Amino acid sequence: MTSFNSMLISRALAYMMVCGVFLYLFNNYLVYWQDMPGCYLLFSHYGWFGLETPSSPLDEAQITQGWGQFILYLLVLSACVGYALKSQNRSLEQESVRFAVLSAYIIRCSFWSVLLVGFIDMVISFLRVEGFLDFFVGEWLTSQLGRPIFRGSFVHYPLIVASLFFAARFRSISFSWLALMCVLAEILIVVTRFVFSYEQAYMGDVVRFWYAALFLFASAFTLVEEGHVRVDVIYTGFSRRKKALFDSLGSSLLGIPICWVILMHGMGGRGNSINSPLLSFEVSQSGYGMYVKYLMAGFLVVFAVSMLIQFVSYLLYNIAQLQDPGEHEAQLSYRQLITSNSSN
Amino acid sequence: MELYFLVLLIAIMVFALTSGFPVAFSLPGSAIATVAIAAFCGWVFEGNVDAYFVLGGPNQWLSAGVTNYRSLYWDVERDTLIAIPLFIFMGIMLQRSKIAEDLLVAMAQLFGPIPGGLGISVVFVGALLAATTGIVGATVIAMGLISLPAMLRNNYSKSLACGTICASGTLGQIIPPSIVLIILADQLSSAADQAATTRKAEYKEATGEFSMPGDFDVVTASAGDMFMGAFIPGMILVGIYMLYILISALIKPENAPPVPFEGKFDHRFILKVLLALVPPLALILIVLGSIILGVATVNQAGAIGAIGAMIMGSYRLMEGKPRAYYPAILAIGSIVTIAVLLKFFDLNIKNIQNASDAFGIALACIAVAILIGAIVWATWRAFKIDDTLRGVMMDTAKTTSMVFIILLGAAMLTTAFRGFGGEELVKEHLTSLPGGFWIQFVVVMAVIFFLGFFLDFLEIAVVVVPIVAPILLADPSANVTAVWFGVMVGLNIQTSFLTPPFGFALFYLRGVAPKDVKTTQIYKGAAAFIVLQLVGLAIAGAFPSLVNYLPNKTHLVSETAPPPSNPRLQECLESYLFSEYDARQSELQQSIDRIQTSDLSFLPDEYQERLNESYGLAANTFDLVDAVRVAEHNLDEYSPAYRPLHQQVRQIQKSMRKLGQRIELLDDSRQRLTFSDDVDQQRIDDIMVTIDSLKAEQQALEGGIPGNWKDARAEFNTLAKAEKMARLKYRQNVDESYTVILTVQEMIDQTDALAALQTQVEPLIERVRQQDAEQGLDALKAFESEIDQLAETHRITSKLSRAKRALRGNNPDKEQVVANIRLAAEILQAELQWRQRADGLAQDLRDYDQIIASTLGMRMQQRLTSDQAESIASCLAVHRDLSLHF
Repeated sequence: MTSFNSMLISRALAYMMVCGVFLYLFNNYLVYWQDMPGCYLLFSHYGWFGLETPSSPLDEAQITQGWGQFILYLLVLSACVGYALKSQNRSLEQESVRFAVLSAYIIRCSFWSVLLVGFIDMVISFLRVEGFLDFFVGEWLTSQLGRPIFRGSFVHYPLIVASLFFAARFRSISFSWLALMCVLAEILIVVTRFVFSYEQAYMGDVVRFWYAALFLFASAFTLVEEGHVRVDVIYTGFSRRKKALFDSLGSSLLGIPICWVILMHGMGGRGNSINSPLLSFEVSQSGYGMYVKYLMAGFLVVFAVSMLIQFVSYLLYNIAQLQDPGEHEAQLSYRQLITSNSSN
Repeated sequence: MELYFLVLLIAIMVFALTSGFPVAFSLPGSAIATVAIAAFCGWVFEGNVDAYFVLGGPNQWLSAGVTNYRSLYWDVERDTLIAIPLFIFMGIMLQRSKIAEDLLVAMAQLFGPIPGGLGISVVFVGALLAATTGIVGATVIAMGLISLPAMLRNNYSKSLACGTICASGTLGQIIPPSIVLIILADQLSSAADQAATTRKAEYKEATGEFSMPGDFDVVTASAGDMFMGAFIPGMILVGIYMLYILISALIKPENAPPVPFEGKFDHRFILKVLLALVPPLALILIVLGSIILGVATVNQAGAIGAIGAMIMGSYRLMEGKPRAYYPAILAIGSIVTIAVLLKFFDLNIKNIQNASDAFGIALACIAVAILIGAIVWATWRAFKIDDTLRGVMMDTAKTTSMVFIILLGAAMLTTAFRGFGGEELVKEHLTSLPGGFWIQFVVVMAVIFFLGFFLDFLEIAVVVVPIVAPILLADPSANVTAVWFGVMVGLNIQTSFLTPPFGFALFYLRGVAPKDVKTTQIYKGAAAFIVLQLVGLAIAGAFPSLVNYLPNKTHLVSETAPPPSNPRLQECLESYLFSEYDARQSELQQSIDRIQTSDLSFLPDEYQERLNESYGLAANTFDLVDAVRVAEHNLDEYSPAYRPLHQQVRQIQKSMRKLGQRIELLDDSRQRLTFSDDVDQQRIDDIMVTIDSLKAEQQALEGGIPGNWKDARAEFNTLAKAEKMARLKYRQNVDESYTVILTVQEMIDQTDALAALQTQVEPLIERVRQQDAEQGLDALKAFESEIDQLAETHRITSKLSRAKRALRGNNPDKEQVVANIRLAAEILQAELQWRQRADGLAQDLRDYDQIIASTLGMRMQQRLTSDQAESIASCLAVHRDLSLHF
């Protein structure tokens, strides 16, 4: 196989992988939120691939929807191949940077969501616990804000949409600020507890909310920065190409499957560990805590998606290194490549 | 078949790890790959994807893995892990604001002139920094950059210098607050739960009794416990290091020559040293102190540390400029103000009673506002100057992520390991080792030490501990505490930083050491310290009290301390009290005799009787104590001879149970075969043959049980029961004796309150007569509840209840009501009469109580005194062999 072909294939696969994950999430929304059948049910309806037919066959409308979803997959995935064919003049490094930027944007969006939702929900929870909410927003809204579904749909979701904008506008502020936020939120507990003997569930909730986001969101960038610890007894002695070989094998055989396993097993059904809290707007049992527990299940999705895209980016960079003949040192390490291109 | 996949799992993992792919993804990645291969092979060869799993199938295990991912942050139970980013923040802040560096320079100047002084100062600073940072890399790099050149310039032996720096850098792993300890605590708490379940099941199987006594339970460990448990061993390690350097400097002065200080020891130098030393030391004291005193949780202490470090950084970053110390002074000032306010006002914001409270809270709000202002100021400075804050946040985020993603990955790995039956396998092999717990323990420790050559502390803590800890903790023959086990593991994996080829500390030092230091010299230097660490490990292993004492003591004097009557404390409490009885018997006897001369004639018969009985019981205590001792002695006499037999038989019975389980499994599949559509007679016959041979084996085993076993066991049970009964009798005796004393004292104390209530009787009767039934009932109820709050008033309240009953219903009989109230009043009058004459008795009882409260009455007290807590903590700190009860 010529290097040209293999570059084309890896590029197409990379696009399919990344588009595939967004498509998977979109379909997950269609299936579990909008009650569409999805490909799996469609296939089993026809008894394809040795799947057992469901006890209640799909009706006409569902079959149409199912086909729609299936065709959407086919369309998008073939579009990926088409795009890869069309943009052959782009180097793999450029693609790698592109995906890294995308991953960083997703993380930034999530960061802003978590920051805003955490802050606003904490204020609402405080007002609600202390009975001040009536005074500010009236009785009707107070009782509505006591319902997880309402608070999720009309407080959290708009904030999440707003964070798409913030993430695009403020590009230098991202997940690392959560470290400071954790410290400040915890010191708030210390001050109110020791001075005023005041401690409520929502204060602990916000720390947990931000701390979980901190380490899950930081993971993708930690990969860029070579912060994930390696057992590098042998690795340090490898040549550049050998390092690239093992890193691309690792990304594709170890890294990417982890992300897919998290997504498929967390979201593969209504009762799975990510879907079920998201669907039911699960809240913590303390009652007067924050109403954000369901979003913490979503953190795993952010983790999996951002890691997946980052791994794809890392893989493309390493494939580029493999293609590049010669034993000389790489011009730019992955870290240099990404940080120099994403900062401007 | 699962075994092959277990081997495959380990092979893939080893390959992935050595290929240098990040650990955090190698662990779960290899688990997922193996699960996928197993599922595929199952589908191809057996037509069933579940075929090669011990239980369940690939979907269940992977889903369980993902749920495990979530559980890391999902519930309140694992909140201690939140302390990790906080402590990392604190450490990096101190590092980046150069506080650590100042400390190193100042200490080197101070200690320099004594033999080996530079080395000792490195150990000292390492211990201090350890307490603040706990991050090996940062500490080793800082010391390698600052101290190593100084040591080499002064002709220190290269290997000694390097070894000292590497080893001191790793002190952070064992000296609290440390991330390793938090993670170990997190792993151990679930391991201890599992172990407790196992032990309970074992107890049930062995004795047939349904519930296990509370004092046989597995002792678990929180992060705070781990911190305290590791404190003394950590200090011992520091002492060993220093001693080693001093001795080698004295034996071979050219290895570590003293370095004269060129400057002057004047007040400016002292000021400099103090300024470098006092703030970090104060911060450590606050952070550790608040945990040890049980004031703050580990997380809260972490936040205090992080903010403290930022405030310290705020003046260090502005060094030499005017107003550098303003935020620090403001912060300290406001904290002092708050402390003063807390002394004089009740600042509970939910409970404002009067104007004074409100005033206090207003003042506190101002102080808090100033404190927050100081924190914001410090944050702003850190943000503005050299971009320090951004760097600290970024490093914190990356380090935290590195740690936690490994935790996540390990969760997936252990799930798969379980799926292929690895846990059972380890358990079987570990427990079948001859020689019991200690051999198992030594083997586990050796394995951990060996893994340390290749793996980092984190991987060992999160992969090995969850597998072996439940097995070792469940063993009743050693009955070790989780804290002790955790500290031993902690001390052991600390060596992983120093063991080539993959020793973190060695790497970092190699990175910053000058070229003329050979790598072998670094290894050689580290080797000596590895030996020292193993010595420390041996010391902590031989004297568990060093580890267990501090957590116990803290627990017993903390606000949430168990009361002295807690069943877990009884044996230790008794051994303390019995020696008290020995020492003070005559004194106690005298006071019992004295109280018996006190006049009781004016008391109602009931109380006369009860008091006299109480005195009798008190006098009887010493005999009961002797009885306990005799029973205990009998048991102790019998046990040594009985022990070998017990062990032998229990071993046989265990093997028999294992055979029994196999027989059951086979029988199940035989039944399934008989009910299937086409009966495979050949296989059924095969299974029957196997079952028969297993049964024969079982019988042969049973025959191996010595004939005297039944009698010997019965004898042991009788003796153990006799001892238990003797103890129960003693406890009952002192409790009964003491309760009466308390009650009578309380009654006499409440005389005035009762008299006050007496004056309400007539108005009450008036109201009942005048008002309608409902209002009368309310008044009656109010009166009754007031009476009910006093001790020993049930006779009065029972009359009042009768009155209440008469007032209820459609046609209340008011006269009946009044009559009953009058009856109650009569009793009340009688009560008052004797109580008002009881001043003398009250005094006698008080004197008596004072003498017996800490002995006979100990079990009924609210709290242990500090002395008692100390004695009981050290008694509990020793591991007690429970195996004969199992």
